[in-house]
Amino acid sequence: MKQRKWNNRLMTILILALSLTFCSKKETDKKIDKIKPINKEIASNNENIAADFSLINMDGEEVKLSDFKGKVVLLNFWGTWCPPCRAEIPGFIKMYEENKSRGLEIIGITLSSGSIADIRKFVTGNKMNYTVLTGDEAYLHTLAKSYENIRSIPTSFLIDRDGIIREKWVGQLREDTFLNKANKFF
Amino acid sequence: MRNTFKQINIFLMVLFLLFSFLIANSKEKLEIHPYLYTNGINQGGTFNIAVNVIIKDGWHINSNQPLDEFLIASELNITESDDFKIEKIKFPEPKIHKNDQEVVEFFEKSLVVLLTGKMNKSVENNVKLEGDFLFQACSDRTCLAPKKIEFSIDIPILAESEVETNSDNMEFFSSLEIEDNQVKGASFFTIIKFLLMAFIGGIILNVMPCVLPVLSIKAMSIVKQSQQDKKMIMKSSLVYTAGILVSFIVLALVIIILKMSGELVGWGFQFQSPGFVIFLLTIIFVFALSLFDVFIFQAPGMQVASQMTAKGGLTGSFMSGIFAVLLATPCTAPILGAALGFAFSQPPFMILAIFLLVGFGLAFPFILLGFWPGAIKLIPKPGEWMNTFKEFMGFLLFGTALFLLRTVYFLIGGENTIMVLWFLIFLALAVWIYGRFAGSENSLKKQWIATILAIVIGVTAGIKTLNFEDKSNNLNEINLHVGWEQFSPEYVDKLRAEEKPVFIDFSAEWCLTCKTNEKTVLHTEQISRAFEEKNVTLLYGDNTKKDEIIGQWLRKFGRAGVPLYIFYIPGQEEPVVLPELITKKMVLDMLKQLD
Repeated sequence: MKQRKWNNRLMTILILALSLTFCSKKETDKKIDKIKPINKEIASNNENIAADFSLINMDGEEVKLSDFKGKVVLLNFWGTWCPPCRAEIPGFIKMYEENKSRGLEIIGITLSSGSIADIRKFVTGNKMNYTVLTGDEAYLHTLAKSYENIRSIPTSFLIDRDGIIREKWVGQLREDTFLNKANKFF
Repeated sequence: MRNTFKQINIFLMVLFLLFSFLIANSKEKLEIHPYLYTNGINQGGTFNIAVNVIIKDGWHINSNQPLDEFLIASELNITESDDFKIEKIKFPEPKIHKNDQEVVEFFEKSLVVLLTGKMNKSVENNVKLEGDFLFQACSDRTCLAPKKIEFSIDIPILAESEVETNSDNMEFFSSLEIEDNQVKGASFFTIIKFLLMAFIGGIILNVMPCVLPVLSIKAMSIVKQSQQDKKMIMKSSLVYTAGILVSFIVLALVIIILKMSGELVGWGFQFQSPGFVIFLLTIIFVFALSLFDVFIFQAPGMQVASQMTAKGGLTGSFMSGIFAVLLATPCTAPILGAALGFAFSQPPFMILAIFLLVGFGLAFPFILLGFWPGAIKLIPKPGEWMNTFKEFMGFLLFGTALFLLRTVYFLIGGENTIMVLWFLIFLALAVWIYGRFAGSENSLKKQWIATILAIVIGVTAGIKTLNFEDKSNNLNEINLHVGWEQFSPEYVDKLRAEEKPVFIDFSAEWCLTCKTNEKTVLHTEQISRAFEEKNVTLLYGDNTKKDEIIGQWLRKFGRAGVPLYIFYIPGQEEPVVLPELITKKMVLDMLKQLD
């Protein structure tokens, strides 16, 4: 009888220890699972062609990525409501001014930022000199998915003259960081 | 007695079920918890609901009335219903961030939105209030798309006489009133979660390498006592617990005072002070000597030894409690890190509560032993083995002392460490003289002379050797392991901008858990090679001495102390955070994410 009581208590301690191990392990796995690996092709594989799209610029005209073939493109996913994206703009304006003659194009794809009129107000107010595009929310959503499943902005891509994605940046991108990578493609 | 144990068993089961549930809770950027002020509402009655929004560390959301027209306002919407009418939705005052170009109003960590409504007079059945919270979250680097999180709360309809304040939520609402209807602290739910984590973390501390020697000596002394007096087991356990709790109270008070004076402190901060480390080193060294019977403490002329430390007795139990806490500090056990991180961000009473719970956890095995003295039979009967075991533990303590000496070396440099060694030799001589000539078998005169001589030698040695002033602080060099580079936030930004994977090890020389992880995992050939194959840049953040920047990073990830392991994957804004105790498998799994 006494022995059994003992066993019960030891069992309790054992379960206690096991649940602890289980709990802490599970949490670790979850933390690791939560962040999925990036598609390596984007970062390093030369075969990675940037998906073409058709969107509308601030004048209401249709613009395609393929229109810019032969140019080095900085494709920037952003939103008027996103402070880190807005912090990139002055640098982009300057960089575009200085490098467009070398064949640089900057395309800002505006996500979840309201109507063209709303976006135009922002674009004019901030004297943005590069191409800013928007489109139907559902289309933009699919587009963001096809570009490496973008989950946060700003996210930027360097696309070379042949339409191949050469680099990807998540978070605020500085001009010098971009140019360091882009220079060899001009 | 049987009932007591049944209760303890049930209590433990409930505790662990609850704990597993909490751990399984989702890791969204935001959590929403609505609380009803009362236990229910009468027909036509006015109700108050507090919606607690908890924002994940490192993220913020916009205020409900952002100054910038382009920012997306946080919104709380309640689904319309015929059963009630919402009269007021009140957001707290946001925090304000100003820079040269703009002023931004935002919320971070936690906010409470207060809802006031009126129940319809014709309502008969219980009412479900449903709503959603719209927010747009950003970190310093990136922003996420706007998102809605839905929530609901059941409101029981009661007779007017039955309506009373909800005792479960009292604490939550009382803090609301104190802070003028704006809670800055955590919700009741969160508090309970962290209190539980503190307790369990405390239990785990018992088996961490820094606590084990003191713990086993304590267990042994209890076995010894139990042969003489069964009641002593209970008494010893309680006094040991008291020793632990008193130490934790002192530690909590020190932290509270430092925090109030504006100091940034973290768990294990005391090991950044050379004075404290040398003090602890001295005590452990002398204690180890006593385990080899170099001396037995007794005042001159007294026939009975005062039975300190390993020799048992209630004073000894109390001292063991204090020792256990002193030694526990550099070992941030798993789970404890998060609870302490939370404590450090809380008001004074919560720091105290969490520290006390850690203390209860640390004392828990002995509390169980106190209430269940039968367990003592698990340990073999006293005999010669105890002396052998005691002396063996003495070696463990010497090891601990050497580990602390290593910390001293990193804090004050090699030359000064040699001086500390000289001090220890003289101290050993002093206690040896005391042990050899101050025993009760000697004449009283001899006892006095030996005691005074021992004190003089000890004190003089301390004054002469431990007088190192400024020559210490010229070592800014960090002892970097091959392949590792020094951490700096700018370097991390640069590497991330270059799309390179970065692994950061925040560590300290006094942190045994960190050193164990480095030795058994991070610095092994297998792992080093794996890092190299994946081209991971390895950064080492040294927190041996107080470092404001590392302190900020630890807080950013909700930790109060080292170790902290962070892995940045290119293209991911959020890093992988590994737990305090890591294995090779965890690191290899982590690296697989680069494929």
